[in-house]
Amino acid sequence: MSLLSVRDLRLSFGGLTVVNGVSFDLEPAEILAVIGPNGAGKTSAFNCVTGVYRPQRGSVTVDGRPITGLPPSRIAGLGLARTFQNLRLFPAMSAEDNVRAGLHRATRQALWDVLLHTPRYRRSERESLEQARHWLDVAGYEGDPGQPAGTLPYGEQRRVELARALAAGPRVLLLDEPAAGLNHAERSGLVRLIREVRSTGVAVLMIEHDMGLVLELADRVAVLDRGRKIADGPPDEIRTDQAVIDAYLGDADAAA
Amino acid sequence: MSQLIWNGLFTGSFYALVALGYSMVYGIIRLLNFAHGDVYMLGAFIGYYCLTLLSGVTSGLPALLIVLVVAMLATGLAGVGIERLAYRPLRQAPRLAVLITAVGVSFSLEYGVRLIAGADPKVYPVRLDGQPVELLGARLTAEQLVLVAVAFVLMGALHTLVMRTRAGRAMRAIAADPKAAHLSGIEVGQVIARVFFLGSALAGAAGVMAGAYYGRIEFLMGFVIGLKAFTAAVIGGIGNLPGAMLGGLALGLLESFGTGLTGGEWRDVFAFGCLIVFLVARPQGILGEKAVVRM
Repeated sequence: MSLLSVRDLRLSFGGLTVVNGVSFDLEPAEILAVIGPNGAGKTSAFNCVTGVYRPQRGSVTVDGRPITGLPPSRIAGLGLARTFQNLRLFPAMSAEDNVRAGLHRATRQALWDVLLHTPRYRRSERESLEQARHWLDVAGYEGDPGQPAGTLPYGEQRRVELARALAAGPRVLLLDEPAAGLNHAERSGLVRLIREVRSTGVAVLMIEHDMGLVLELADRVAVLDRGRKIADGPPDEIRTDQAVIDAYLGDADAAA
Repeated sequence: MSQLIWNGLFTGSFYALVALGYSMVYGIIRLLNFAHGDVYMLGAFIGYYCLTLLSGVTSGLPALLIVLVVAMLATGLAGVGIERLAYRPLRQAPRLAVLITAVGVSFSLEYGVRLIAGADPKVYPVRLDGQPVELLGARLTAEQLVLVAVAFVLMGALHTLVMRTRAGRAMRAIAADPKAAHLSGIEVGQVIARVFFLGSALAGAAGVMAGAYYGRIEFLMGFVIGLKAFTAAVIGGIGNLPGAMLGGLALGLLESFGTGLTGGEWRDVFAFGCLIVFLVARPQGILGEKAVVRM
């Protein structure tokens, strides 16, 4: 039984089918990259997995347990954490408070402890702060942890978002175009981080356009085109796959 | 002069308590909860009945403080019930539908209370008319001082809760981006219910205090204060909690000075004139938008 198993997923909006019968599996400590031209349904498939959309057909299971139809917060609780294509931080909150939102389910505070400021409350606040700073460090964040996230430079915002996802203690980390907009140094930092995360047994599912990064990191690559999966295999196989080459022909963006 | 400041601070702290709930609910689900003033009225009535029940046992300030806690719990639960019954089913509906529903909830509360308690005004069993003391030229009673202190403690507690606890961080996260919060594992529905509990409890506390201060309550008393709290929230910057406190106090003081200058019948003119000035000149409020703390 796979850690994450997606079977025959189908999602349509009105008459437009954006995901059409996609299946894939993910094992612990595996890095699966999902590639495909723009509009291939990659992010939509992500959204079905994390509970943002409810697919019309198909199933998503974690450890054999079906999660389709569960609210996103429950799915997060089962060990799926994600980042977004266009960052979605809480801009007015400090970097560390953003990460503490990822720690939400791991933190417990009873109302009485809060109202009476008991030592238990203070300890839990201190611990969540320490953990938040730890995850910021892991993500390579170098700024002031107390600064509002919305005022940070782009690269730092990406790290805060990664730290927020990691803080949730995921078993599957879903990254939607993690390298978009990163410079060379930031990109190699990201590669190191993803390898490190994987070495702890976490599975990584990532959408990425940067083929260099995909070939460097992924154990397996799934290729989507117009809602369908047209190939799935090790990077070397995918590179020479005729269907993949055809799908990318004439798509200048994806080749970049 | 200092009497005017004192009166302004007193009514201003009611406004601030009610405005906080207004602002919190707006911040988290972008709803102008027109029923919020009626929760204040509900608090005053719950307080009235509890004080009547307690009248043989204890009276004066201790009774008032006990009743304050009971009324806060009861209105808090009422707020959760209102959200569950009236607003939650409309979570995906257009905002106008929810707004109209809020007006409906407001009428339901007003005429529901009228049905039970009757339309005649009730005289509050506890008055804050202990021995007045002179303080910097203002005449005030120890009871009044205690109530204002309680109001400030409640505001401080709310601020700490929002800024320095897990629940508060969840509230701020949802206010900023409900979907990202949900995907970070925060149960959005539960947190919204908590916001309604807190906001309604504060309004309930203000209701009991107002009953004791003015000495007279009736089922429509929440209407004007709802509008005033809305004004206060707009002045401070709606969705912004320090702004709501500041706006409430500012509005109380403004009214007090306005009345002092021109007479009591002009009080509401000052309040709503102020609302118009702010909506035209600075719709984001004193602390709105540019403030770092939003929820």
